[in-house]
Amino acid sequence: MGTRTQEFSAGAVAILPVLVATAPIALLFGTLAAAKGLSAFEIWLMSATVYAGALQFVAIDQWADPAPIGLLVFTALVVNVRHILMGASIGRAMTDFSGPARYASMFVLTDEGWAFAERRAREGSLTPAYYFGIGVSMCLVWTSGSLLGAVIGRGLGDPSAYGFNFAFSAVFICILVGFWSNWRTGAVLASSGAVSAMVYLLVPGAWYIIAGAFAGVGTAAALHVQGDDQKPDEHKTDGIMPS
Amino acid sequence: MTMDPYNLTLILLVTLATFAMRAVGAVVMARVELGPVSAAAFEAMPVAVLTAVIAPAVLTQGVPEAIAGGMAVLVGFRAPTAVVIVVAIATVAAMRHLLG
Repeated sequence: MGTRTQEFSAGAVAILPVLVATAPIALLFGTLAAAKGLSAFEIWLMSATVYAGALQFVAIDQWADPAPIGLLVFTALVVNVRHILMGASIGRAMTDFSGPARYASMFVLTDEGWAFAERRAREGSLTPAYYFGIGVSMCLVWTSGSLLGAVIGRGLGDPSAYGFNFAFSAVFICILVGFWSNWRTGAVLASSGAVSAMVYLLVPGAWYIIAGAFAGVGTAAALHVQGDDQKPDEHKTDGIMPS
Repeated sequence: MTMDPYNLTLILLVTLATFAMRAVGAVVMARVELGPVSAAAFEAMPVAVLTAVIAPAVLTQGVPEAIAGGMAVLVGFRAPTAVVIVVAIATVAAMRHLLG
């Protein structure tokens, strides 16, 4: 553990590859939102306050004039239920965080930032400075990218035509590979992925996230009940994030 | 700079809904005592949640995405994240071009 500045930079540097992938996605969001009639300021404000990439894409998709308030708030709850699980998990590693810092940290919670923070916590300890090094840099890229997309987006054409919308999937796959430790990881991954994809195809809305998450977590719990004799060293070895 | 009061209210409500989910987890749920089985479930949470978020994008969108996902897994065990992103995007673009 270094000084605050060192920890902050360490967090910002660790998340750098994700920032590179986030920039085009943020541009894409700004472009799509502008096409739905939101002003540049509204788009920037949404990115800065809601600050939830997946939800913002779903919300913009459902946006109309006037926008359906009930539907959008309900969607926000469903899409973000996973954050209860994420917060519950990373909250346990936030032993160095003051009460206000804990709340502030949740304002900048993202899937990717959370995964990097979990990794840091498993390697040693998670400091507030490291966490906000991740959170602040991601927030800056997301807000400025959306604003830029809102202003100049239409001139860039459709980013999905070049495969840029797959950048997030690639980032997530890298993070998942980093979490690999043994066959149990594979079992969690397979059950979560299969259930999520099936629910996505069968049930409208964003329920697939929570369904897949529960399938994966349930699998881990079931395997633990069956295999209490596992060696402790097998349980705790995490792969190293290749970055 | 334009700001429609209706849109402002909506953005504010969605912000509150999002923040409520996050705060409940980090502040309330993180203090609940865990037995060994729940601890194992919590440890699996990162993999379970992240997989559930991306599975449809990789598995249900078509052949280019599925192949690029496979490529990303293979490359991901060996190469840095930035390289994996480039390989995955290039694979999607190339496969879309090849398969029309």
